[in-house]
Amino acid sequence: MFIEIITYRVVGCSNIKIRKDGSLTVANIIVKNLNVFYGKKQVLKNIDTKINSGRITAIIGQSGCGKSTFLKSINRIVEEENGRINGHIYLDEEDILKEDSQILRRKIGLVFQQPEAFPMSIEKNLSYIMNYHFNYKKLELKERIKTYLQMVGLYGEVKEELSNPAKNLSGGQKQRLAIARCLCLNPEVLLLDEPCSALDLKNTLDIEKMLLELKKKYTIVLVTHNLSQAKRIADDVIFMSEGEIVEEGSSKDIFSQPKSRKMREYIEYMEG
Amino acid sequence: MKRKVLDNLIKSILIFLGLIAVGLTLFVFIYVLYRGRRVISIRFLLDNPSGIPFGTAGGVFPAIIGTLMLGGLSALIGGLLGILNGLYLSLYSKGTKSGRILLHLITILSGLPSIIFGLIAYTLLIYKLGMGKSLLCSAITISAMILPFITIRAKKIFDEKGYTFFIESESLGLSKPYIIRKLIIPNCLGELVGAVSLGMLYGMGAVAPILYTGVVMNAPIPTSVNSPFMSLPYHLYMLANSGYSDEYALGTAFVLLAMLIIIEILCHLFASFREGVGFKRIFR
Repeated sequence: MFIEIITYRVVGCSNIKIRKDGSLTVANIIVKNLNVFYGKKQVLKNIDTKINSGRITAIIGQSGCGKSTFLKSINRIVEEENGRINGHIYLDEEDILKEDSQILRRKIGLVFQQPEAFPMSIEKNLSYIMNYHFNYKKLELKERIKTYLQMVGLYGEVKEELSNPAKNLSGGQKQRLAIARCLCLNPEVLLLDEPCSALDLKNTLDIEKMLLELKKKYTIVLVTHNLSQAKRIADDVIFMSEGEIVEEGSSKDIFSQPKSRKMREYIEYMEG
Repeated sequence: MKRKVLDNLIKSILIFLGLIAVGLTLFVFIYVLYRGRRVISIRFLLDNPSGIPFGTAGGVFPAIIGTLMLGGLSALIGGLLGILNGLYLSLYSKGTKSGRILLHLITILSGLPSIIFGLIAYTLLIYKLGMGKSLLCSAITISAMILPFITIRAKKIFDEKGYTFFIESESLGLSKPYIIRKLIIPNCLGELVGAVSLGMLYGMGAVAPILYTGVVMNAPIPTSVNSPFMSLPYHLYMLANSGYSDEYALGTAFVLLAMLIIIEILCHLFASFREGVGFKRIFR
């Protein structure tokens, strides 16, 4: 994997490893003793885990168990919502809590649950981000917009209306546009908070197919309530309850032989 | 059946109350127009006031210009500060202690009577700092008066039309100033102009805050922000108070009302065109 690295590029004040094709190196995430607080309320408690590179990791658990907060902690957007993070999160060997948050977010893209299309045209939704992080010329920018929209399977559907307002897109299209916005950061990690929660089966399967394609290039962490989805696409699964990790392992092991009582009960409940 | 009757009753009461509100506004406008119609002319709009007692002949031109200059300057100062405050409250200090304290203070400020602003400004700006009675002094006073209104409106606009975009953009590694400049302000501009214009109109119609700080009974068009000035509300107050010429007073009131309505419509149109709906929003 690291053979592909040919250069270092200065972004802000940090050196970021970049592959030949412009994307960043795929990295492991190691979480040690992570605690997250909103005011006095502790939302995450002593989280220790490793999220492997180049795989899809699904975080599952009941509503309010801290899945989304965990995802937001990895991107440190929790801090913008007045949350407080204690502990360590390493992206390979770098402690991301000590890094500049903007540079970190350039490496770790987050797609929110039911993301909003920015109030601008479809192409500007992407160029707005790329113009900040990169100095692409106009032609290259257009080429990249096309590439990222193709990667999420949206280009064919919107190629005639790139200058139209993005707010007119359907729910599934907006979801894919949000993923494309993340991809144009050239990140190492993609964090997705219930990317299919408001979508029908066809759109869900389209997004799953896209994620399976993207995992070759990115470490993907996905929060989902949909156990079938986790079974279909996740390589690893983390099960959370009341702000703690109860069980984790490969998707196959977790679903076939759950060790904890809470996990068994959760599977039984979700599968009716 | 009973529920349907109740629904219809509530609906009728609400329609009745709505009609009262519309009716009162129309009545004021028609009454002022009818009673002031004899003095309204191009000459009235473009001449200086004259006559003995003063203001019972001639026009209100310096007062129109003075009111517009006061409104513009107040909107500039109050609007800028109000929008910055709104940005801070909505995007920088959401849920923080400092944000909550600031919001409480602004809410308290919004409840102060306008005469208090005038007195404080007189004490601080004219008595302590030695500024003369001037347009700038009055504009600062009016700005302070409209600041809470604009701040609260701006915060609401940013909360509704900006916060989600702001957080999503931040999660993509964009800086706060870049997001505000490229996304939040362009997206909210129409409504912000609406909020500032409403604040400005409120300020333009006030007499108490400018009474001690800048307005005079007779002055030429201000040549600088340090000049004293004439204002329509004060001119109207003087005419109505003296009781010498009701027609001139009502003519002045009509000009003031018309100005406020025209400014409001222009700002509304600007907001509509910013949102790409053009004239549709006015008529829908």
